[in-house]
Amino acid sequence: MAGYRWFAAASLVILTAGAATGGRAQGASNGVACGSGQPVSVNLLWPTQPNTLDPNYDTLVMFAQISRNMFNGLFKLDDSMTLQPDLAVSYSQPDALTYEIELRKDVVFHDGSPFTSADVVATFDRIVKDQKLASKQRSYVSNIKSVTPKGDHAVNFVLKQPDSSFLKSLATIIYITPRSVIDKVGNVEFGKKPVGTGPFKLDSWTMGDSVVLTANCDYHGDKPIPSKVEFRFIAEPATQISSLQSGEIDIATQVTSDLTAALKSSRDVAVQSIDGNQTFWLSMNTKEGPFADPRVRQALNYAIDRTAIARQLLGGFATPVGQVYSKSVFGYTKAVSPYPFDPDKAKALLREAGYDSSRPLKIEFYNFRAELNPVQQSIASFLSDVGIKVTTRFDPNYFVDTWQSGKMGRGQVIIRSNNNLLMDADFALGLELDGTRRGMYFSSPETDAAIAKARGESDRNARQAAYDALNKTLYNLAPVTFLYSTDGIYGVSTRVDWKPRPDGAIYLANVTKRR
Amino acid sequence: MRSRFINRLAFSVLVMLGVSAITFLLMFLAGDPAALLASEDATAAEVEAIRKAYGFDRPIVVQYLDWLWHAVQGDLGVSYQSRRPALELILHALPNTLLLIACALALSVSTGVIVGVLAATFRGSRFDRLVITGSVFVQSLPSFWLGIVMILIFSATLRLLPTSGFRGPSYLILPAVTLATFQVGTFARMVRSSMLEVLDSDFVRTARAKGASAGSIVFGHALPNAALPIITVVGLELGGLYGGAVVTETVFGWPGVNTLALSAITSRDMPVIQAFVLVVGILVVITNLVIDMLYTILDPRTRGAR
Amino acid sequence: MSHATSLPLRPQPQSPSKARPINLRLLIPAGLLGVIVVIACLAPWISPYGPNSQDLSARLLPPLWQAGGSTKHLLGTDDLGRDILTRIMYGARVSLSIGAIAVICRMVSGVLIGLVAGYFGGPLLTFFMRLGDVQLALPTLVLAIGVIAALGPSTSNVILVLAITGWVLYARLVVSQVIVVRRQDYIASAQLLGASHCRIIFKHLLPNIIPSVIVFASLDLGLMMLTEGSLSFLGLGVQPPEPSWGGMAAGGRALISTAWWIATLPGAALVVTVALVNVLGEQLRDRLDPRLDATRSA
Repeated sequence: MAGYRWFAAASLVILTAGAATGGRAQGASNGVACGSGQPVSVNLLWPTQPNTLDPNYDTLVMFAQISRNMFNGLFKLDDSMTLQPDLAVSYSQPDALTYEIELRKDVVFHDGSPFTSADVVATFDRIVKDQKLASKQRSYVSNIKSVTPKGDHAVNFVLKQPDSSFLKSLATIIYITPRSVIDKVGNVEFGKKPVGTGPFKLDSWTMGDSVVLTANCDYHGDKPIPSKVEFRFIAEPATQISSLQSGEIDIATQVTSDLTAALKSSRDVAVQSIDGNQTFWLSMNTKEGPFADPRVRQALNYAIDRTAIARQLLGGFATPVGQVYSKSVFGYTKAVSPYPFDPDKAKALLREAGYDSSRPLKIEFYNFRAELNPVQQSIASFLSDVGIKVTTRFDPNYFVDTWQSGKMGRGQVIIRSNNNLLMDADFALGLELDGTRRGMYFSSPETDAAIAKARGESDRNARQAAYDALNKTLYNLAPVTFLYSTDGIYGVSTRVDWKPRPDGAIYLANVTKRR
Repeated sequence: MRSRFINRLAFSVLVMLGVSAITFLLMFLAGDPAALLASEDATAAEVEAIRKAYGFDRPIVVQYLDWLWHAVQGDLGVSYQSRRPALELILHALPNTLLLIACALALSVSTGVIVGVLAATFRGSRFDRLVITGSVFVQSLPSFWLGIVMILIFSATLRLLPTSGFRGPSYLILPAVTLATFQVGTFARMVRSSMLEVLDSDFVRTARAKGASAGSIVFGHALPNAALPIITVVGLELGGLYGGAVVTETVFGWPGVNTLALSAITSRDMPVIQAFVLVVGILVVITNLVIDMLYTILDPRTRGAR
Repeated sequence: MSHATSLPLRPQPQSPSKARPINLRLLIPAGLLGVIVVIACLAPWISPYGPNSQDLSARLLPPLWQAGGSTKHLLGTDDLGRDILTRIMYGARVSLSIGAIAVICRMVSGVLIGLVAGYFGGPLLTFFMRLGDVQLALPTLVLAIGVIAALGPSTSNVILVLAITGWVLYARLVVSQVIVVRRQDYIASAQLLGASHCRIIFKHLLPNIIPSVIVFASLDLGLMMLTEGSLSFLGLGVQPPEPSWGGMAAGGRALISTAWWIATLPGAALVVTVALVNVLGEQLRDRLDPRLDATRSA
């Protein structure tokens, strides 16, 4: 095992040297020969490892980093979060429910087979219908009524409900997979040896250690610069930092604010941060029990010192919010500022609702992600300060077992977050507060209608105005306890020319690295 | 001896069956695997469809017997999470765990024997007392703490050794030392007391009276005779190590079977858990059989008796 | 949990010929352990802060002797600004009480099963001994996580896991001794005199095995504390914010390079306590039962 890895490392060096001295005949449109750059290594800090490299299965943000360097979607978001065509050339929208999309004709998969409309149709079919694959992306395509090919290089999408964020889902979640390969090898094999259209193709996957991709010089877009890119799966935050400092990896992800201190003293490594797309809140059952009373929900909002949490516990790498998405996301309402920290008001509201020291409000506060334990304990401490009796619990399966299956009990609270993959207000609202979608614990006819209306609004400014109005209503209803949105924090080797994006996506094709 | 061997083997098979049934039941109690397989906002109907597709809707006895029927044919099922054969996943991670254990054991046995022999030879000396105190001390070290402290010293401060994963021999050092430390105490004291017992025995006294040198007494007489209990203890320790290295593997992110099992347990990946229990169980059984046989071969008393 | 199998393998006792005055070797560790027990009992009254009272403006303060340390927090603070010394004091309560209760559970269940099975022998004995074999073949981790996943993580479930995994060791020890004792004449005469089974078991057998059980239990205590620490470290034991030494170490692990004291000091407290317990156990063995050897008793 170890011997094999040494060998792989040695051959990697030889390949790089060969590429650097001999050069490649193939010119690249960005002026650098394909695959002539130094290999780049990124660590994806996450408690688990990817189970499959099949891009149509998971929704985990971390492992989508691999997919987006190996595959393409029909669209993509550029660095300023603007929608651009990717495998598509153009689209038209004859009515609110229909999208006609023209596809590129010059694209081939890594195995040489051409990309056609059949692959697009099969990709969506697979996500929706393949029970054994049991794709977790199913819910993101559930608004699609039909996908039909129009010749070899065009497809028509028909939606069930108007959705102005639809094209963003084609740009951020759904990557196109080759029908011919999957038909031949099946889901499991494809998950081990995926074949895409992207700038890199799979070189090797060492379970439990890393995925290595190699430059695809037949790529239809700008040719990739790094000869290879490596995704590591170091799960220990401290180890990730020491690996970055030793030069073993070039980009460290999910760096916590406390660990940035360790990086500041180093000349070889820099901390890069950006307003991110991840927002945190406390979700609770507002349909029955104590949280059915809006005064109790408001009391929770007043009881927590978000500014102290954001500035001190999170080292300033977080921003308090009064809505369920961050300011980098489309639809953010500047006029809605976070709840102020006012423990007296919280106590008064609790008294009004009938809770006092002789009959305190009792809540069970759940957390399902170990890295949130400090925040959970800090919040619990603030809540006890206003006289709430808090029991904290950690249960890694609470989210899927209880929250997601709609079994959340009275008086139960869970800290959860949303990575706004689509960079769009509707994504967060649909996943938490829309009664027609996943609003299991809070919904009202008025807010549901407002969410649907804003979703269908095609004019950008009118849509923003709709969200502004909605966010004001939601602020007062306090369907959740609003917390904060976090910055994306990365540790980056100073030898590498790479900048983080608000959506957290890591594209490596045009990254250069000095020796 | 052969019938005894066969008896033990048959009993081991029964034990494995019992263990696999208990594991299956425990994991069944732990919760619904279908919920974990479903998408983030799956409807109840979608979860139900997955439950059907994977056969989780059948009674547990049927599920277990179905698993058993396939297991007998060498098919331990496919991981719910990665859709790969569970056995393949376990066997892929097993060499890493075995390597770690082998290194740790080599380290602890060699250190333990040297220290133990010296302590027994110079019984009552300052060194002897140091060994006794030291072994109590190392047996009071929790491996999670030892691992963290070594990471602090050798990685975070001195920047000498890597801390996580396995990409070369240097990655082996800290976890192997961590795993070995506890055992060194056990082995050193074991060796010391077995040696003392032998050194007190009549035949060593006779040898001494005949004027044999100290070296030939220790290495020619005492150590071979003390080998038997040492082997037993090493075997028993080894049996516990296969599944017992979990804390060490976790602290150092070692890609072994225990970290694999830990994540399989959180995601209720039943086939992987079952394969883990089965493979570790088989290893324990084999280890015990080998030790038993060694014991029978080496021990002059059992050699004639059975 | 790598310690779990090591208990029966304690080496043979030191030679009993050693001189043993009422010595300091017994008194010093006993005294020190006594101090720890007193601190644990009095933690709510003598600790400088509350175990869970956070102060976000005093986060990650180093211990007194390091630059930036303050006399307000002698051993520094953790990532929520909680006082480490206070939490270590409260951690002693958790560690000692879980260790003690677990040992008592293991001991009582194991001794009862061992007495009854050993006395009656036959199929009952076979059943329990075979059950024990199955039990020992099941990795502790799987058992622990299975039980905790099924019942939820809590302090009482940690004790349950420790009890389930431990009764076999006690039962084996007891059975091996009961089998020897019950062959002796006075048991037979008691039977002839019409003593009930219950009376024979508790009046005649039990007193015979008590010394070795106590010695075994005292050596088991340290191991239980280590196992509790490991389980809590893995997140399967005592749940935060309740301060357990293993859980505190797990919480501070990510900050090891910037705030070493959070993870290492609680673990150090565990090391000291377990070492004292083990030293006392050894002394006790030398005195009460120099020939105890659980390995070959089964």
